[in-house]
Amino acid sequence: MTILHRTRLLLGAALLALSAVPATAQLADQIEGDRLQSWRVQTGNHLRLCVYPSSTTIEFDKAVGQAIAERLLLSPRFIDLPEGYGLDGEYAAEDFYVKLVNECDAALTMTIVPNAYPEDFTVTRPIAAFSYILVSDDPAITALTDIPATESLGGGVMTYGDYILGAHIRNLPKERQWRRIPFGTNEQMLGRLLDGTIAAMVIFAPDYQQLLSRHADLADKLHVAPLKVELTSFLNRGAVLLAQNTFLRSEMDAAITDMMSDGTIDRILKDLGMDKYPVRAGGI
Amino acid sequence: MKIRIMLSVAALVAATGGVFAQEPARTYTPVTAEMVLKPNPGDWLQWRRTVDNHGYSPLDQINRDNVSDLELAWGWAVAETGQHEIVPIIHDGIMFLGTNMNTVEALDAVTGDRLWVYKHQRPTFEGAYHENQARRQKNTVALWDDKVILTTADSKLIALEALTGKVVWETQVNEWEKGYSFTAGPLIADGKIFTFTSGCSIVGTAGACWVTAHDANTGEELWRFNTLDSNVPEWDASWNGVPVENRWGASVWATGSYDPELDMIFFGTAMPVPYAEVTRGTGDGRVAPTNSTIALKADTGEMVWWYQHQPRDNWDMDSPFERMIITTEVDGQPRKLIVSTPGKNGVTFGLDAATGEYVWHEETVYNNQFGGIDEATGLVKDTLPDVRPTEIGQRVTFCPAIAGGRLWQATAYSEKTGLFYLPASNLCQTSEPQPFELVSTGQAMGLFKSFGNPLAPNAEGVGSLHALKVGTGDHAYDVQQGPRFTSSVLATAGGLLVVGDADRYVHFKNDETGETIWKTRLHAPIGGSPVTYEVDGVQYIAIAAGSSNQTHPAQTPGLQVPAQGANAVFVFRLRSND
Repeated sequence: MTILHRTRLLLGAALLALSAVPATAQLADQIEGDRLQSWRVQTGNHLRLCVYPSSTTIEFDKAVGQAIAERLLLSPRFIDLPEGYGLDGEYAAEDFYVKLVNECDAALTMTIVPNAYPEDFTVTRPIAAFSYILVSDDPAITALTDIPATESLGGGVMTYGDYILGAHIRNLPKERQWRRIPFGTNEQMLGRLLDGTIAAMVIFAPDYQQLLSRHADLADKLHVAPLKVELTSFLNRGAVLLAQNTFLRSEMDAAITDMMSDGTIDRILKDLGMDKYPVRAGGI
Repeated sequence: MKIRIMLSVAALVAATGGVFAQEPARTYTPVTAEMVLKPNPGDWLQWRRTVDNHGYSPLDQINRDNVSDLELAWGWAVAETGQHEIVPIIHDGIMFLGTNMNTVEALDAVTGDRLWVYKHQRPTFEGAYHENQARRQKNTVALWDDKVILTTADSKLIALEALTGKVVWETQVNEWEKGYSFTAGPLIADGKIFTFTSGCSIVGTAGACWVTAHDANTGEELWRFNTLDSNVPEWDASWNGVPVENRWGASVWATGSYDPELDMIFFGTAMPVPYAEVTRGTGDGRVAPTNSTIALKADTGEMVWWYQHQPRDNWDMDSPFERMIITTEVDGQPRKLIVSTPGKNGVTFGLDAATGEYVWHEETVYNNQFGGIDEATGLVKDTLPDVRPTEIGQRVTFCPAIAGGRLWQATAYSEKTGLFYLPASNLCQTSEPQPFELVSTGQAMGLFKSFGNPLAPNAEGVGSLHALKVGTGDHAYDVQQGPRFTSSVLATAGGLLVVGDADRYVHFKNDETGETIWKTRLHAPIGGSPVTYEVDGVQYIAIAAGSSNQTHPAQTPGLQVPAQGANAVFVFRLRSND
């Protein structure tokens, strides 16, 4: 049975049901009760999709959200998630949980890694996988191996790109290991690339595109090289839901599969110019 | 010299917006430098009552013999929801409540009638971290002169008129836009106000976290000290090449202590950020001065000494908690010590207050992280290797858990028993450094995942209370129970320890044995810091109860936690005082 054969009635009932607050989730034990709505919200024909507004894939996610909602015969309503947490995410999971209980049916703009979220949440199948890339202002650098071990490399602290860079470095002989410097912001990392503190930076391709949009004058000065560890440099994007929302999750999975098959995801990526760097519709 | 200040009924009404037409004029005795160092027995002027952070009251009207005759005098639902970590402050018959969102209420300490309320106006925070900080304000007020001194979530230091709540002056201490905030209140001593900064795990705070000193009468800044970068070569070398601009942590979450003889202040620093060394890129560096005690000259902010309690922390073991100053006998000689359970790992230390020299340490809760002491140097060895992940995604079970061990709930010292009292919990935690960012926004924002909090090996329950001898650290006794002790401890000259738990019980314990003499049950988990005070010859004990996220129902069989915290303060007195 295809997704289009599902009825609006069934979806409406399911969306109502998923508003209930779970009583046993561990995360809920850490949240003051007055933050969680105990009533069911009448959502009408809307699919309420939370997004992190500063996500560098926000336009892609909203386009995908629109397409998913259309396949479920619903109208999307995008709701901003709170941002600005500590590096280790203090309060982030709790706030995310509150938002999903009170206001959202699912959250887009989310990184999807197996078994990475607290047990209160579940994830859809990946929608797309974007890549980490190596960026330098030295034309002689066409790969990681062109960089002498005496140089330093930059990565965004707490990012997947920094993780694969660190893991790669640790697997090298001592005499071939670069110094890895984790940066708090891409702007800071770019500054240290330009002043020579680091020889190259490992950065998420959508982040790099956003960075270039703010620094158009650097487009000719900077160039992108493949990562030696490119096979593991992709990061999946998808949606996260409360764990009990299995019905909506299966509906969204079916919609994403449908959109992969008919080329919708590829078209969105192309329309947004996000196919300039390695990207895979449907994820890896 | 005491100055009596008279205030008109009209001014009271104007401040509160309420109607107090028959309210008699109230007087208020300004708090002096002498009173700060030696408060009137019936007063509770600062977080732990005295600037040595003892959490001890000399009042003894309520004692072991009559504590079962306590009755409720009055209760008050405080103005804000959120984590209930409040500390009532009392002087001249007025109770000041600095609660979440930096709302301050003044109540008549005898009747519970509200005198005024101050509602803080703050900007819309740019970061959600800040919003959460505002919902867990701790001991945010202290008293000086005729003013209530308040620290705020948007990094302000504010002086309010004690009798009206009107703002007298305010100063912006740190740039809240970068992520700085205050969750703990000020220390007032030596004519100065000292502030202790939170939020240094936010991207914008890279390379700097602050302790500041201000003129107590004007708020003018006198000096500031950076806990991440103060030109200390040993600190720089310990980050293994990670530049200052890429260092986070060493927040100063708790209020410091002051010693007038040494003219020094003492405080603790929190964990390094990111938590895991494999993520933060510091390799085998000890990342100083995270998880350290720091001693500064009060007049200048110049560092006198520092001592690190958990080098190479990987699991947010956070060592910012209160430092007590206690003169006791060590090896037959009187010695002034800093006695503290500085961090979540529960290891308790005695350090020489003047020099920072190691004197003793003692473990309390089960611990698989603490590396022990290098006997040659007196320094703490690196965190044990079994709990230091070498790869992202490496799952580790560590004890105590991130929620402690101990947490913000403050310790106490009885000047009668010579014992130091620590409320703690017997929890472990399984977790792993995450291999991904929550979302890509161009600035770091992680997500922490836990795989559960098992009880520590051989633990009888989550809750534990430890009594140590301050000269040696030897255990006098240890108490365990199912529910966690969720409040600070109060010690009194009446031979009592007062401490509350997650199961809503307030325990009045024999301070020499830990035995509960009498207990009473309130509407919600007991929180904040119990305090005691005296007005017109009557001793009162104030207890906070409300929201707590340290209740651990999954690890406490049978524990039921109310869905709504309904934060409140309850005040008890002896029935015979009716």
